[in-house]
Amino acid sequence: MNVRSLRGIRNRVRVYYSDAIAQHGPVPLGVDWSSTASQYLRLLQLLRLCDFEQAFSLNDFGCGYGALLDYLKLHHCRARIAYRGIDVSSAMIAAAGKRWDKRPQTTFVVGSRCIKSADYTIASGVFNLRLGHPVAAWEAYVEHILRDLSAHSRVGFAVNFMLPRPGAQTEPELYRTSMRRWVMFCRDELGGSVTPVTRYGLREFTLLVRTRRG
Amino acid sequence: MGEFVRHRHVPHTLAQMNFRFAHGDALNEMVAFQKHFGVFSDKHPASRSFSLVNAAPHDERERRGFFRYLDRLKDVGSNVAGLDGHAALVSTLKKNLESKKPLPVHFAVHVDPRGSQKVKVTTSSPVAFSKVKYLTISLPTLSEK
Repeated sequence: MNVRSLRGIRNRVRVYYSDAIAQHGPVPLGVDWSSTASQYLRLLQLLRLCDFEQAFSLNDFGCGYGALLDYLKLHHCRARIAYRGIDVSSAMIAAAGKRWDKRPQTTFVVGSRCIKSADYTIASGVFNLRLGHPVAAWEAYVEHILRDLSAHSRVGFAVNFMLPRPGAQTEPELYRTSMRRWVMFCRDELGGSVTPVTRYGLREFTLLVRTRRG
Repeated sequence: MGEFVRHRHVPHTLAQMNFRFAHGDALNEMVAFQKHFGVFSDKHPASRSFSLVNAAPHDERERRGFFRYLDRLKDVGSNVAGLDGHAALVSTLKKNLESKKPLPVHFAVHVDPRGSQKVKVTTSSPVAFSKVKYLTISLPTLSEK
């Protein structure tokens, strides 16, 4: 994927999410989730990758306003996690930093790459909105991100995708995909060991990918 | 409703509630929320549950009013034996979402005279073109003066 196309997509994504949080504030709708419960149900699946018995570091790619930390506080309050939230939108990072400025071992950075390695990386919902970009361009963008997540995850990374609706027309704003497409990419191109998670109540799937280093 | 949630916001509020518990994907989501998080439970108020699943108005002022309205259901009766309106709402949703064949839920409102207001739980097919059976929960209101 050429640098210009990548920048173009990132800029659209940045503007979209900055507008969303400006309109709704640091709530699920501000990151385009329909409810706190749906957000938490996705996080529950993604975090199946992590071993909460051990201390670990975590990259939260596309962290938004830091909702993952709310979930961890509620469901894994004793876990020892060094957290790094990364988001392309500076408005999101500002909101997240404000909410979590007292949490130890917590940093938020504006960016479109992980930059630093962690034991695990998770990314929730970052591939769902293609904002009218052609599918081929969007898939090249997804591949680019997955390569970055893989390169910066010592044990593994977890991502989710929306499944197609049978018989429904393609929605130009959304990206829906078959599971096979991304299981094969993570296994064959990234060399990961892939565990798919499906049928958890949402029309989507989660991939838990253990890297070779893991 | 009407007093706690302003008149013009009531249709949107009911639409939002019905959308979140609708037949198909929405109901599947709700069943999963109940399975994993026990969203509807006598351990916490209905207002918290409706907030978690976002079956409430978007507008912040109306949202607060709606949650006050739900809290006030403790002061009314129900057609579920031995339960006040609030407990009937919570236990009906819990039981339905945890059942082997959960039904989509249709929320409605009705007018009851002051002092004999009740949450009414029934089953019906409220969507004219469809035979899908819904659990119908009708919430009490007072007539406008």
